[in-house]
Amino acid sequence: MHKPAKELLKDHMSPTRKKSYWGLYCFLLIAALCWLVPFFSSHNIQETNLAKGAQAPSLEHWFGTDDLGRDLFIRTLAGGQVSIGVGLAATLVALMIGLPYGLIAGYYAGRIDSLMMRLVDVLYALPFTIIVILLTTLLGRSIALLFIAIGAVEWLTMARIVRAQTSAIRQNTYISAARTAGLSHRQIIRQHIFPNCIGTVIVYSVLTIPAVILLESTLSFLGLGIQPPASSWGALISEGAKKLDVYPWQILFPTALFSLTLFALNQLGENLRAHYDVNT
Amino acid sequence: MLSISLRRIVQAIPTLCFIATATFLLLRLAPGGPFDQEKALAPEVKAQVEAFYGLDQPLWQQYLHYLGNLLQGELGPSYKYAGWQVERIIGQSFPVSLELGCWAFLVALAIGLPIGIAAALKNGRILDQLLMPTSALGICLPPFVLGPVLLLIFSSACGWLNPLGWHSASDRILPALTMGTFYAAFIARLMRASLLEVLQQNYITSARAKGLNPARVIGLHAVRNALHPVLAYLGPTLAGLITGSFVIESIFFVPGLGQFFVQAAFNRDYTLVMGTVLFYAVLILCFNLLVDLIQIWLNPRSRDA
Repeated sequence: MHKPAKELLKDHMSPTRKKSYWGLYCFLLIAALCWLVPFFSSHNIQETNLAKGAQAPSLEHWFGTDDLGRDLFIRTLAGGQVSIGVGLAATLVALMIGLPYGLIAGYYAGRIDSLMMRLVDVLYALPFTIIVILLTTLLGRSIALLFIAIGAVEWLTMARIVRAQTSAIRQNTYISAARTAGLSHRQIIRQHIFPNCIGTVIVYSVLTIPAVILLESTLSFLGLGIQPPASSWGALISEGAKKLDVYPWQILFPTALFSLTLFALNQLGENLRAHYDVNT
Repeated sequence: MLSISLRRIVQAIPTLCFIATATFLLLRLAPGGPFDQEKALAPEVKAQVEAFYGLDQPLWQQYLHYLGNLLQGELGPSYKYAGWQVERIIGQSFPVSLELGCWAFLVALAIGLPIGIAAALKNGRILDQLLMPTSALGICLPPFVLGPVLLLIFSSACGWLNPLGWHSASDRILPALTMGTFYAAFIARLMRASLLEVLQQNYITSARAKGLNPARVIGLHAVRNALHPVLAYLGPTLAGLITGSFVIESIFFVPGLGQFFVQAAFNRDYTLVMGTVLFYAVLILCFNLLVDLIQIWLNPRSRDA
């Protein structure tokens, strides 16, 4: 496709092409607030004071208080620790299973590939949300189980994407060259295949984090995720939603932070996608 | 097409067997049973109830019994809604979820497609730069955030719409809007990316060079071809909309299948949970097949893939 130079330049400078990390900075800032501020605050997440129940935001309680008089600023930040923590941990689980799985299936191709991918297809046909809901309802509701359940669902897409990338890369002549030069399969995967699909992996991992946070929050909203007295953004939003018209601040602040995090991570993912030129 | 359908249906059988077995085991391994209530039943009453439903038999016998019934198309009696067959519960609540899902789907398309097309046609210009971040915002406002906010605005503050229930036609508006907006954002981005790519193709240039009416080029050639990747996404979307309405149903008190499912899992209502899971699985398999067939019909080359 031939285009005038000016047009090419414009394409290159269009907003999606610009390499920008503000999403990352924004996310890091929120994460830092969530982990650091509770250390220095005079309030803690458990401290109840019924006399100060459901107060509007003030200088003492920046985000107001909940029905039990707990400080919502601290609860929102502590909830963020859980939401972000689950998001990162479950993404890591997905990455640890999906990456090697996809690399092996894509690299060895043939029967191994079709067998491995058949399994993924079977699991893919399962109703995801339903399985996660089932798991969390039936097997208790610990945080560990929560991210295992979510990670177990999310690795499938990771495996598919890595596999597609790998089987495209292995067609290249430099792979046969490496093979002729006497490199083992293991070395080829590690030195040639993996570095070439790292962009895709990064982009997809970053986009998985908000998806996981969303899933965790949905579960917590249904009362299936994080259990009190611990809290997550989903649980806080769920509490706030019940008293929306009376104490609007109870839903406002957790929602704002939650949405901002999702927005930042999604934008970061999209920017990285444009940067690495990934189409998935 | 027939052979593909047949092959997929054959492939679905092991999948369904796997789902049935896994769900069965999971349910039985989980602590608690359908007749453990807060107010405990007298042991002899409980034993009698369990014997009535065959829960006193060895696990493998129960499993074979269930599979046998399943082959005859019976999902068994619900343990919580005494006297109700699972088929009847699903038959009564699923149409509600289906209707909600379809309205939400229409909302998602009606919002998502025009935004995506407009953004692609005005790539990089102000309209695009306005529309895309707005649609990204849609992804960040999941149903359980948007739902309460819409409720606050339209029923508490303005009093235009009923906050709960599923009676009049206007009760459909808020749930469908809440559910559809989230997916509209994805559809808009997908449509934009896809259309941008199609607009670069040589056949668009040649259609323009031929002097075809620009609106015709966009509508007939570009948009039609750009729809393919969107369509691949629409299948899972529609399935997700129809099966994933738990949150919406609990916010707006819609008597759909999602509500029943979550409640059944809490109650350990074994047959209802299994029946619902299998029903959803069959539904998703059908959707995937349908989408693949439509894609082949639109683009016969994708058959080889």
